[in-house]
Amino acid sequence: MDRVRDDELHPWLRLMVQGNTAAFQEIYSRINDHIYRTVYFLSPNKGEVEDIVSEVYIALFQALPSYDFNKPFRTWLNGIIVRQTSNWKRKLWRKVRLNARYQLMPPLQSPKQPEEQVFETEGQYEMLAHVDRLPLKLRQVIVLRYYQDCSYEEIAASLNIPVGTAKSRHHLAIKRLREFIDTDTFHADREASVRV
Amino acid sequence: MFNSNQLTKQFQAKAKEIQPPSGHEVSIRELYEAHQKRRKRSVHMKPILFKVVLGLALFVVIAGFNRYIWFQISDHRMSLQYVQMTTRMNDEESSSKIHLDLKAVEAELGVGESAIVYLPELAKLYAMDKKQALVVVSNPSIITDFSKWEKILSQNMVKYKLPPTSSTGLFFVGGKEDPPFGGFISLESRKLLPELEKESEKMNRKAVWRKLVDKPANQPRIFTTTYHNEQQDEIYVSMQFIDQETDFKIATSNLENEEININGVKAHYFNTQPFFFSDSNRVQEIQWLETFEDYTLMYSIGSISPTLTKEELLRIAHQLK
Repeated sequence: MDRVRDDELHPWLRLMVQGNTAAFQEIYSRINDHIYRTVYFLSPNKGEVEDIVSEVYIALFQALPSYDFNKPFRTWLNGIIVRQTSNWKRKLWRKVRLNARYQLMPPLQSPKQPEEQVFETEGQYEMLAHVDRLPLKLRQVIVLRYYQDCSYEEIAASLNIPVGTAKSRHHLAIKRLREFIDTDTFHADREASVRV
Repeated sequence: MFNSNQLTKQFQAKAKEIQPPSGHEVSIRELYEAHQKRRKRSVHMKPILFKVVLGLALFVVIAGFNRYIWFQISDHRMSLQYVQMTTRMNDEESSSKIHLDLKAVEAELGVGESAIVYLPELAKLYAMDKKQALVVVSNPSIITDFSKWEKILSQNMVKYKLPPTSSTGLFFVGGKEDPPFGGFISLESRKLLPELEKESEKMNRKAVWRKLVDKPANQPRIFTTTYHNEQQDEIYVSMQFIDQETDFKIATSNLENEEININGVKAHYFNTQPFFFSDSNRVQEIQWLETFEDYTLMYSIGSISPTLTKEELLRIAHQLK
């Protein structure tokens, strides 16, 4: 999606609002990886990703008629993704929608098992495991900054916070990550010394 | 040591491994098609009459258009009048557009947030009294733990009644400290009218909105408990706490109203259709007052379900304990 320009998306988005299924397919093919992967990185419980992504799409369909075409689509979409992910735990309607959806659709197999709550703490995704331990507000900033390569201004617009707050959350998140890394290194050293 | 390049590389590598399960695209397309169907259905829905909850702040005064009182519920502390407006919307597209506009705003709100929305369709209708174009929508935080919700209720009201789940066949879904629909428009938020109107004009008469930062002071306290029955119909029991002299007016059009008796107390059943706050375009409700020494509770039991019958709603109302 990063390489897709807004002026290429806009005609499809306008058609999609009018109920054009071909336009929906086109938009889906361009934004689904972005939505799915961002939700995956934001959500601590990977077993819920599929349901949260459905909520993101429902909110997207509802909000699209009011989208301001003068503003960047990615920032607007990120706002929806972030809100739906943080709303997820507290949503009353989750149960209702799930019930309705389960009646309509065959069950889908999740790409990850529910018990898989964190990335592997050792190996190639060690840093991501640390990101998963951050509180949601800090994790949002890290995912937008280092996965999506967003500027502070884009992060601030997506999270609906001042730029200064985005910077201070970023600063705090990095500080926490350093602490996690240092603690892990400390424990690893201790373990090594005991073995010796 | 934290290394931002290493983090970005791990994000990129992991992202390549993350793929939606098979069938994901089909399920999202079905959601899209279901949304479009609902949208088209609401556009073609008839008739176009609607209910507007006017600013339910204390001592609301309705002015600027003719009306007559439909019915009234009152005790020595409070009075609630349903008034019929002589101005009515007779354009079906506008009615369904209002519903979609409100849903679009709601989708942009985080939990606990509310917004005031300026609806040009209503402004056009009430050209002489444009504050009627303002409607509040909210995404309240919901308490899904019944014991926690009971605690909140008992902290606010010495006595109150809810339907027993055992005999009614209902199960608790959640509680919120908000009305079942819409919200209260404070005098402060009404001051936003001129700028919202201007902004809407600039944007080619689109609905425009602002997040409300604070809840209005002196807002009446309302506690809404939501239940489901076995058929998944949603039923709400709303209790409005009133401890000072208060005068409410609710403006509506096309109201089917019937005076009934709930355990010896005079009550009103009404059915409003269409109703732009709900997907079903309908709401039915039973309302009555319970007067205590220090406060009055206004009970409203209602549902927007298109399948729930009036008899079922009455049965639940009779069983409140």
